[in-house]
Amino acid sequence: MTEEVRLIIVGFGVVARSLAGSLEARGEEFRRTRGIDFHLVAAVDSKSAAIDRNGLDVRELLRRKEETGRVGRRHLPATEIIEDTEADILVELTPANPLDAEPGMTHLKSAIKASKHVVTANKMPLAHEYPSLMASAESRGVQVRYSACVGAGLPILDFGDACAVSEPLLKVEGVLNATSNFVLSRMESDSSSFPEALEEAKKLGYAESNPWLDVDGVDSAAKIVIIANHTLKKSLTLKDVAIVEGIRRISPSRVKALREEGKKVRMVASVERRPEVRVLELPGGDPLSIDGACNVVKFHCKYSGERVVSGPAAGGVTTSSAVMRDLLRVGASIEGS
Amino acid sequence: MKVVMKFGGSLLASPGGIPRVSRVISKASKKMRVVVVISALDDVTDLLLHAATNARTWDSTQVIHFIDRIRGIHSQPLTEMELRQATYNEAVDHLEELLDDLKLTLSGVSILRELTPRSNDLLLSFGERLSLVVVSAGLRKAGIAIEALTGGDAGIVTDDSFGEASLEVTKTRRGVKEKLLPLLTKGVVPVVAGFIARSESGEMTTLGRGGSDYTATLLADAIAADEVWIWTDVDGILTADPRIVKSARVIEELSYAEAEEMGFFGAKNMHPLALAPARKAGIPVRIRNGFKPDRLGTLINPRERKSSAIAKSVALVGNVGIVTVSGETLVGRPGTAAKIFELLGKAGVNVLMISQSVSESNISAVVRKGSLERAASALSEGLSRVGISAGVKVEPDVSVLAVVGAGMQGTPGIAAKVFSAVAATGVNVRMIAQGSSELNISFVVASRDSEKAVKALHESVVLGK
Repeated sequence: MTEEVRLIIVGFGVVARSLAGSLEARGEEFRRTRGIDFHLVAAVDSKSAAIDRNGLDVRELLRRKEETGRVGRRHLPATEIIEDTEADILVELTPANPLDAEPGMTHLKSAIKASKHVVTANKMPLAHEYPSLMASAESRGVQVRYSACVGAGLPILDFGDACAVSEPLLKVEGVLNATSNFVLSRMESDSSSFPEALEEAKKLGYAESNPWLDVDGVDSAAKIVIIANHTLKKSLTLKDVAIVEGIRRISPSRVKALREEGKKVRMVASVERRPEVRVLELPGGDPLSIDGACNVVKFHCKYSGERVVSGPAAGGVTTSSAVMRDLLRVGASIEGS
Repeated sequence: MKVVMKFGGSLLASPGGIPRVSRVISKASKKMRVVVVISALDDVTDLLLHAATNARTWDSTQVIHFIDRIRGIHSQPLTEMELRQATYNEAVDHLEELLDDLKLTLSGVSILRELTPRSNDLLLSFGERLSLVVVSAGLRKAGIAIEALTGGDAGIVTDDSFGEASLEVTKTRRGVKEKLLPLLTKGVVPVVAGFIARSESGEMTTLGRGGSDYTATLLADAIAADEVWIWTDVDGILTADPRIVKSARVIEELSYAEAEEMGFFGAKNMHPLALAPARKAGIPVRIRNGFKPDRLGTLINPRERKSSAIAKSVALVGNVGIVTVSGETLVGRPGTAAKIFELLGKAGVNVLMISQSVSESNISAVVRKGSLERAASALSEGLSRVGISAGVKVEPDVSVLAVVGAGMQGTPGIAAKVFSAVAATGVNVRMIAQGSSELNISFVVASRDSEKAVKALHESVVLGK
């Protein structure tokens, strides 16, 4: 028995295109092995929308986006599509806006109000209003899944859940911004200055043209809010995080002096009581002193001590794999209902 | 010859602005000794004022985002100037250092949820200090020998009443002379961040509404400069707003008193406070266009030269309203006008014009439209509290026309001429006032008639047709 699961994708950047490609390529596999038949019934980008109740032709959609920069011919408001299109899951992939989390916030609220499940890779709505969004989702009986918001494809939240099964978690700390970590590693490996290393990160596609979200610590702050709420059951928002210091002012001479002492400087987000983001000088053997465009998170468990998850955490493809993970989980629960 | 040159923010922030300014300074510094004063880059002062009002409620993200906007405004010209790598790195380091301080200041405000006058001064000082980093890099690239100085570095000393600091005139004169004259002798151009100063205890203070222009004139006074040149993005002081009057042209020469009258009426030129040091020292001030450095602009000097025309300019101040108090109880009651002023002052309402009928049965005041309702309620409540029963009426859609010029002084029949020019257009005059200096006649007309009246007046009393 296959269950039809209808999706709306809002936001059609790198992650969405990678996801749509996978849905197309692996659709048959999911039908056969999971009994889930994904139909993309609407796709919305900032300029246009495409809707088809019977399922859009994904190959055609990707081709049009490639050629015209638009998914559709007409502009339609995303909220209207989210509320009025018959669908099971909203996949929210608009860019992170740290100031008011829009337009993602409105999309999430519209979906929850319209009793649709949500899978999102946009961390800002959750960072701004996690407690109230989750409460309203619960009251509507819908799921909100967001594993792609943290660690790109690295299953940090699942790892944290597993740690918490048998004992309380006392503290979480981690390197959560792959771009900044790449920049710092580069400064260590070839003595480049911050601007030079940042330029390198931009060339390789790790950093945005305006990287303040990454290097000034805001992205890490949003992620620690989500991790703390999810695994430590806190009720935090971005406003609660003290962003003490980003990596902009780290000089090559400081990096060099630390290297001679066998130490590394890393931007670490942590939460025990109060969440904060700051630059720490770590001994070389510390698991948090990871190199490259990676994330690492240390969960401090009450009885078993420190548990660490780490790995590469950048790029649209890895992020879309986390979205897919969430979609399959929601899909499986719909099938059972 | 010694000249203090001040460069405005819109000029500096215009595309290619800093190289353009560098050319002006480079050329001038070959012929004369130059002191440069700079403003904050274009919108930065407004952004800092916005931060001053709002930072109390900001979280970390908002502070960081604000810093990034400020960073963008300053790093763009730095990148565009194509500096040598070492110069660029040095400028970026300096910029980031200041941005770090700015972030600390704003974070402090957001954590304490309070902005003290002292932090307010510190906050506002960043505009000119950041601008100094960027402009200095550009001037060095142009091969000009400079020394970058904040107002405090240049010797400008104030008391420490933050927010409204007063200049310590004698100490400033001595300090500025000691600092700047040796540099000028060595052929170095001092580049001074305008608007900011230092208290005797070493704290950052600001010079208030006179701003960077004030810095320029007080430096000129201290070093006994021959002239002050205010470089801006317009041709000088104009006879009227060129958007309304096509035949508006540059006024070649003005007296300090005329310039102050025009400044008061909101013409885009110097604040009267800023002109004061030049006026006292008798130093001529020129308003010049940085985009057209071959033009002479407007010269403001001690001479009150009467031209053949009656007036030199017609200014229009829109967005004002009249509040009128009337009633028989006002008649023969001394102190009513004073009471009205007092009530408006307490309500924070600035009065632009006032007139009273001979019968004493009504008094009208012209105020900014934004404070009209506040003015009316302050008057009706305040007067009834002291037992004066009077009606309070407001007229919202009026404008003030101000005709300025020394030609009106001691010349009989001027008011009649001005009136007949307006009357000929069929526009009704609601109120009239002439300053005791006789340098200006102002009157109030309905806003819908104001442009017609400005054009007619410009034709007849400025151009003399």
